Amino acid sequence: MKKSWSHESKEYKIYVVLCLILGLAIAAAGLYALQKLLVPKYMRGVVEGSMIAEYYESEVPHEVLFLGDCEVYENISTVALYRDYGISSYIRGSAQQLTWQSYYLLEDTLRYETPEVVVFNVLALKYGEPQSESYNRMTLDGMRWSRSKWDAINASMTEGEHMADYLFPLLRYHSRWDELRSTDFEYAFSRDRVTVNGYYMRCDISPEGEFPAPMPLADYTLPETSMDYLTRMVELCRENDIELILIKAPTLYPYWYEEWDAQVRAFAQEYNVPYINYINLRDNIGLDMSVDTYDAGLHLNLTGAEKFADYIGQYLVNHYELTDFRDVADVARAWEDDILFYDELRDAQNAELAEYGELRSWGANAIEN
Amino acid sequence: MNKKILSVMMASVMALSIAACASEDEDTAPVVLSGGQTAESAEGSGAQEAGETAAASADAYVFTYNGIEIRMNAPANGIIEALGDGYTYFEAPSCAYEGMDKVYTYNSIVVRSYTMDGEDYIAAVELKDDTVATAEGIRIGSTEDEVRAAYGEDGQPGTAGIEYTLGDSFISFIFENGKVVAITYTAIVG
Repeated sequence: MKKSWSHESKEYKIYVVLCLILGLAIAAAGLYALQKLLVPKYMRGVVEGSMIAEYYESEVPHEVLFLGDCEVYENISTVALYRDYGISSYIRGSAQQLTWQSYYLLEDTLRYETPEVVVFNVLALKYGEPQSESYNRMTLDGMRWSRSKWDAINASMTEGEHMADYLFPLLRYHSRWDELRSTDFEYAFSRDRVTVNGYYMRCDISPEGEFPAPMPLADYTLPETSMDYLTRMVELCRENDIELILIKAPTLYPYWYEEWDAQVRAFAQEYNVPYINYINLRDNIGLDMSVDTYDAGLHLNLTGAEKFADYIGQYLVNHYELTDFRDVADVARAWEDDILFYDELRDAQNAELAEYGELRSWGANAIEN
Repeated sequence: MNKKILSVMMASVMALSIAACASEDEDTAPVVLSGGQTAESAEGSGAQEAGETAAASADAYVFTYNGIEIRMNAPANGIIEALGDGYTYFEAPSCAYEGMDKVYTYNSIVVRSYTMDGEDYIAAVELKDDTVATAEGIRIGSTEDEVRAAYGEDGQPGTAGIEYTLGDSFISFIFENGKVVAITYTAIVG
């Protein structure tokens, strides 16, 4: 016998509510899937947008944390630090990472672990204002939601950006329908690994060339905003018993003015933190920029990054009491997996270089058009 | 009855879908995969772009070199083409291939360009020697007083010189011992 419900019956109301909940759940799932499809994946060519999120997958503790832009994530081999010194480190680097983004990434990291040493590369101090939505996205989208991410977005948004677009990336990317590539489908719900504990490897070689003379400036004062965040970084490290080190990577372009260097040196002296400008130490590091760079001197390649890591590692073990994680069995096991990935990546790049004379699956040649 | 419920469900889906699209401006998603686009930008019309530059001169500083007007933030390709081949060239891709910084060094000036949405625009012009001068007659070797007389007293003083802003550009004069040792025009981007 067919049952009939009156509109006022309790059963009917429950039925309606359940249907509404189901409808909303289906809609939410649909929008979630759509968003997963439409957001950029950063899996080919431009992989920098994948780096920040990778940190959360790391299974080892990190006693040394690097923060900064390409001058850290392309220039320092985390595997060399471990292999040579037993240092377990992570590079939370991203393209044109601004100083306040580094600060909030440090805050974010402290939600998960407290490193012994934080190393911050100072090049980004020259930026006092948000620069680019694309770069913002590469740094901020990969952060897990927290107060730190919220604050980082607020500090970073350029004109025309909205918090709602970060909360619901579909709002920003819904128009990517006609730009979708095969990787958008392949990596909608999972991503490949693109770094080794934050280090982005390149094995090709393009010798350092001559750089144009730096453009003279009327005012060399580093922006107040970035210097304020640097001060906050010092304070945050002190509150958490972390040693902060300021570095300038040994690469020459973009130009690092003497006047900027003097200001950072004065800051370091005032706050009693070490500052090492490695530009002046290229010979000590052993860099041969005819072979240790892959893009005419802008960044180091694998051999350069291993030399630089070896040099920094020596400083770190000489000045700080760091654990030799090669003697900590469970951590060593995890690092062995990382080393395996590192070696496979190196071999794959070298094989491509041997076959084609250039990399085709990494860098500019791999960008999907 | 079932139709009503179905309608409510459909309305819910549509409301969420509309919310996803309606609050967004009609501009495109940020360019995240723009590497390699700079090569395409070499197709710009030189004569037309140079004409546009002259017409827009009230919005920014304009420097004239060998009769070619170079306006900050103007499309670069036509200007570079008009300036001729007598330059040395340097380029450096930005992080994550988000653009290309290009530097053209001529006898007496250096022209820098930046890339946005696949097109090159004038980022800066630097005067290298005293054979060239600004439209106001200031050149390397001019005195600080001559600069203030030509550009006024309302410049922004810096640690090494003074800057004057006009529209989306500024001009910088760097002094040593009271004399101009460098002059740069710079675009304000964004």
